[in-house]
Amino acid sequence: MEMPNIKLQSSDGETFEVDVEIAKCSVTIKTMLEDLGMDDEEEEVVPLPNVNSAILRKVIQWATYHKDDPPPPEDDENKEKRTDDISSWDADFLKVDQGTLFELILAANYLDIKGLLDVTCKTVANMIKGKAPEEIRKTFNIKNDFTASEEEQVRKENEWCEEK
Amino acid sequence: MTKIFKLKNFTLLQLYARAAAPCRDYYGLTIAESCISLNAWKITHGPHVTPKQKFCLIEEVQDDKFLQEEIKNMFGVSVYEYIIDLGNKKRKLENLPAKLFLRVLEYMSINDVLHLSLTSKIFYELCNSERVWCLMFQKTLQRCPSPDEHRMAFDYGWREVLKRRMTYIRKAFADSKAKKNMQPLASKKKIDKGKIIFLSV
Repeated sequence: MEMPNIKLQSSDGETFEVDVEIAKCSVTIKTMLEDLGMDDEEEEVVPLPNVNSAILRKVIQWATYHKDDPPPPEDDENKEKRTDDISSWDADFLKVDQGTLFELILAANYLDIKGLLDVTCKTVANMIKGKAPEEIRKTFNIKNDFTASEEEQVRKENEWCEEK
Repeated sequence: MTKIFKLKNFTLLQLYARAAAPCRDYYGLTIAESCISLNAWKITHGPHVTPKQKFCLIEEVQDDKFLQEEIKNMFGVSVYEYIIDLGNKKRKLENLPAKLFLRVLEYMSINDVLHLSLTSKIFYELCNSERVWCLMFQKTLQRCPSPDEHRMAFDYGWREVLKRRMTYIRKAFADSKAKKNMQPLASKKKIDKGKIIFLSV
């Protein structure tokens, strides 16, 4: 039996035809379909006003690759949060400019796709972890607006934590 | 009503400033995802004034010259530019909704957060919110705070509570290490297995 398809419409009006099972990795879409009791027979279009076509295309690409993944584990407060467990496919997939990366975080949050949200947040965290302030500024194009004495003051405030 | 609701739930930054002497006017600025709120207590010419509150949708700040000047003068150009970037929906790390910014920080150590806070004034403010340090407390010590610590945080803030706990643990660890070195070899193993006990000070 062939899987039924549904149509997703991006904020700029482009329509994407997607396998229902793939679309359902988004909890937002899954809930929408269940609440609306959408019929397979009908040609329904799900509007996604918060996601543009470029980002929606990326999200569908990600969801298609990960469609057979087991459901992600629930957040465990006590579990150590790792960032070194990003698969090589995901790492390649997320080699995008920062604007796109942050758009993907927002889209994953809006569509409620935990796996994608986790891996995008980890990627951003990896861009900060273990780096000196000057390196972080370069990475994110941050303008240093501290005066020399202000910076020294903050550095002093932060001293308590630096490992000796 | 809806505005207040939105502010409470989606606040990114809360800043305070006092006008340069001899003025004593006091300002509070709340920046949320969709709007800002500027409170001004103009008390230079007498204390009995109620604060003036001004709401503005974040994308409309760029049309309000007077508000812009007030923000620039009281909170600096970087805060003003931050608000304009938010209004223009620029996708940057500092513009992420508070919930998602926190989610990124969950993966980082205290040192990483402190380094990020050193990059600019906006990041200093973002990284020093109570939400961030309450999270770092739980992440670093791997437990929920005690009622005593909640009371302490109310007075001193979570950053200070965590700092005190860390200082205490480090000292206890150093002490036990020093002790261990003085012990004869035979009893050394026992102390190795000893755990540091968290005591409520």
